[in-house]
Amino acid sequence: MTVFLVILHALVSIALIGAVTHQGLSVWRRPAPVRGFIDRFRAVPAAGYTAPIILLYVIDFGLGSYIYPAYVLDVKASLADFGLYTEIFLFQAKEHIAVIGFLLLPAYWHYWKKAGLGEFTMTRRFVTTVVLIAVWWNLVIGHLLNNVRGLL
Amino acid sequence: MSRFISLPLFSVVSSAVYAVAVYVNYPLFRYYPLVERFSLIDIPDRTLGPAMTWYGWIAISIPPAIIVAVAGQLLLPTRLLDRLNNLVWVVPFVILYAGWIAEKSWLLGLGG
Repeated sequence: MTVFLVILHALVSIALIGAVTHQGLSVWRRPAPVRGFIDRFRAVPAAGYTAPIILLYVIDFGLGSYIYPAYVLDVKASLADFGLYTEIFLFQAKEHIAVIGFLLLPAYWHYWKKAGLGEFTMTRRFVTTVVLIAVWWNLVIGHLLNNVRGLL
Repeated sequence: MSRFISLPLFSVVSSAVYAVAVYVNYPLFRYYPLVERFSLIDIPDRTLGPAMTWYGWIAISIPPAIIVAVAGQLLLPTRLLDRLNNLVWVVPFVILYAGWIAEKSWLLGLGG
């Protein structure tokens, strides 16, 4: 069951990373004709991604929270036995960075949906970029830790 | 909903409380996954296995944030509320700082 939930956690993360990367790059884009792949990737109606990103983040956060005890009991103990403290630090940072994104979601919703899109542009960019970085960090570090555990 | 609660202020206050809770290691409760047991206090019994404080840090950050965000929305003048909302810029940094203080021993090779 835990393995299934870890895979589901990763799959939801992949969907989330796609959505938040589209929005995170789009929010910094100035209106201009679309040229090339990167521009097409960024030229999306970014506000429409907000609700799906929040939903995916909450689901992913919930899944991660549910399987966290398995990490503490099985994975973290193994990492400590092998003296892999840097890897433990990275995962400990992941738990705090996940909370940053989670607690920012209400503000993130406000600046995308409640404030006018012509207002608070820099704040909206900042909040979105923080959520983007949090999602990328958590997926990469989670994947790294999963691989390290497979090597032990 | 946001007529009754300031969502940015919720983010600011919940993050600040979370950061303080991490900094001083004061979770609302602890969870002992080995025996699947919650406790409001730290139980000095090694047979219970490791205690998890992360859930308790999150849990302690939510109620005061709701109270302050609702009170702020209903009671504060708009200009002051906007200023407080702008503190959303410091959210990641206070949590990262508290997290660094709490976890740096791992990076320094000292264990948990």
